[in-house]
Amino acid sequence: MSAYHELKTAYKDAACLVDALGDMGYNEVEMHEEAVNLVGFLGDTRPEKANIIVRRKNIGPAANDIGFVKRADGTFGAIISNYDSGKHNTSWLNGLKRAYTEKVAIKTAAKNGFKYLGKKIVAGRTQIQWLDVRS
Amino acid sequence: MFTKRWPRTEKRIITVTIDESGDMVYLNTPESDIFMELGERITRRASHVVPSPFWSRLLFKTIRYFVHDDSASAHWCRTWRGPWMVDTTPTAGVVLEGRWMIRQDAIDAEIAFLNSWFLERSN
Repeated sequence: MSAYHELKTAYKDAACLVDALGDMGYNEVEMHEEAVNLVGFLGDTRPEKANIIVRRKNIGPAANDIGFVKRADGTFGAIISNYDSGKHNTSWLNGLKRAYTEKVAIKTAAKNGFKYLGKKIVAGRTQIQWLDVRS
Repeated sequence: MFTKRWPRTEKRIITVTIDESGDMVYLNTPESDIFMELGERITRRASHVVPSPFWSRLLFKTIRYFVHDDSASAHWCRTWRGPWMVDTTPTAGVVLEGRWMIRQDAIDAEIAFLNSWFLERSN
């Protein structure tokens, strides 16, 4: 036991991403198989398209939609306008990523037959443990 | 055929730390491979468990430098009687204070220390 892995999580699981957005306060999230246009704060159709969308009415009075578009490699990338990046800044994005990673890790472990033991949180970091009950 | 031994007390426990930016850090075990598909993974050296006496350590490192990790010679080195020490220079930068007569006990201490360090380290 002398090596460790650093894994940069990518948004690949749409359901976990929607759940994570719920953790960040957005419980009304649209999911589209085919990407659709985002809507701007004036009600105008914006050229950007996304598969997972939080509509502006759920964000704030002068907000644009925020979205996540599925890329060719199967990962989702965020589309956030300059105006909305004040609220949805690096800190917010890190929070979303933490929520997503926790959900997708728990889902992956459960799918592989691991028993969830619990988690602890220290200074912004979360540690989760599972028991491998296979075989 | 020699099969690599894994920690006795925690071999079936998988621990993952999610850092401030949402990325994962976890020790390399066969079980942890399930997370491989979740993103881009980099593997780094965490620590070394080596004999505590200088000459034993020198011999151990010399042998391990030349032989494969799964070789009979590497296996033989792991059966040496202690005391063993845990050197976390690649990560935490310290040698743990304890010394262990049984290598597996040193590995158990190493795992506990590293998981704690992943969670509580300062940036």
